[in-house]
Amino acid sequence: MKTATKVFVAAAALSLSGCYTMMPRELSDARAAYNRALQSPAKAQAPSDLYDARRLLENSERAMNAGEDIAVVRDYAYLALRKVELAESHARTQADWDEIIKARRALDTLQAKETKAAQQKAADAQAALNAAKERLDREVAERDAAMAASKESQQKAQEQADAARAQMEQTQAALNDLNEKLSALQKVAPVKQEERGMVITLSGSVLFASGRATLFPAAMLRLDQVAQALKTMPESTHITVEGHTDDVGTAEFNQQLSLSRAQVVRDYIVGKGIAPTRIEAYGFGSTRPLVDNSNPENRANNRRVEIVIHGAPPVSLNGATPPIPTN
Amino acid sequence: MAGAMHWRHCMKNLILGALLLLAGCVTVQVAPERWGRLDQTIQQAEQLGAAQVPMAALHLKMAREQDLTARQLAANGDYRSDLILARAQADATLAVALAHEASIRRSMEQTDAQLRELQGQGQGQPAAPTQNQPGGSR
Repeated sequence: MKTATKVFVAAAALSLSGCYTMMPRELSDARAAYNRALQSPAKAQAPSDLYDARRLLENSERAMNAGEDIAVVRDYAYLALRKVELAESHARTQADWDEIIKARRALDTLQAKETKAAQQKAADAQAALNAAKERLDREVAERDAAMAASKESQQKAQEQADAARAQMEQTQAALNDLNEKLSALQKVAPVKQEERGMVITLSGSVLFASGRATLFPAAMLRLDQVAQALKTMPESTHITVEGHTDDVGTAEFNQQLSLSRAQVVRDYIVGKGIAPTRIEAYGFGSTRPLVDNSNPENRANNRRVEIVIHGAPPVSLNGATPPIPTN
Repeated sequence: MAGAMHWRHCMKNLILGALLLLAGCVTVQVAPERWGRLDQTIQQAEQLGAAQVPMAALHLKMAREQDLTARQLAANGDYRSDLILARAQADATLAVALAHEASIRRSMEQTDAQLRELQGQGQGQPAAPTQNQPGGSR
């Protein structure tokens, strides 16, 4: 009996040992892979694959425990391992998909931000361009206006300068003419420049007979020359004809005689073309002698007619024409 | 005599029919649609570029080899043809999954590179990766 027990124990041990050694490596590898997958994202991502793997592992173990063909045990283990690998692949693919979605969202956000920034940049550039264009247009308009104004101003200034030059030339010509006339006049009557104006002095004895107010024929020739000179004077000048006598005779007579003589001379000159509104006659009698009446020569000098030209342009009484300022 | 002849003829037909039936049972151990499904899966793996993905190519090769083995076993009436066909199908399916995984991985890498480039442009310098690089444990 004791021997029988030993034999049984030995047989059982051999049997167990045989069972243990009968588990193929494929099955242990598949079991290990399955356990590993349970600790990985595959558990959550591919549960149906792992479920199939577990069923196949059970099939393999069942076949092994049932003592079926070891090839069948290996086949089921093989299939279980493939299911585990499939589950892991699906899990990795899902993880990659999740990452793609996450990256694409970030990409979309970035691109939207970049697009917005680019649009803003473009809008800013457009605004700056518009502002620059407006500024340029305004500057061009201002420049054009300034050029037009300058041109108009230049034209006006040119016209004024031309007019001034023409007037100056006209005045210069008139002065030249006046000087010529005055030079000729100085040969027949003294001309002097006084504070009251230009004074042409005609001797009374040359113009009139003593005590009378009638012009000698020769006097008329001289007065013609005076009238010619006066006609060259500007219209703005005013002329007075002043009669003077010596102190012979009464003051009333001398006053009347001097006035009459002045009026005769005035009328003659008016008759030669001088406007009557420009010329007036005055008689001063013996009140304004040039020298004392102590001798006949002095009295002859005091008997005179003076033609005073007020506001006459400056002329050279020695025959030379003074230059007219150009400005 | 005629009855005996008829009975023997019937028995002959019956035996022939039974043999034919047995032969049919042996060759019809695997449903034909399973072969078709395997062919489709192999074709799908090829179209997904499994040949260019080392592990996918390996499983595709194993699927093809086991396909041939299963057909031989089926032709010989071996009962394991069913399991070998299942193994072929499992390898073909895994080849499809691995090829698909590689394709998705490439897309992810491209998207990630694009993102990093854009982030680098925004910050004026190359940006750090947004995640760990794919493990590629296979």
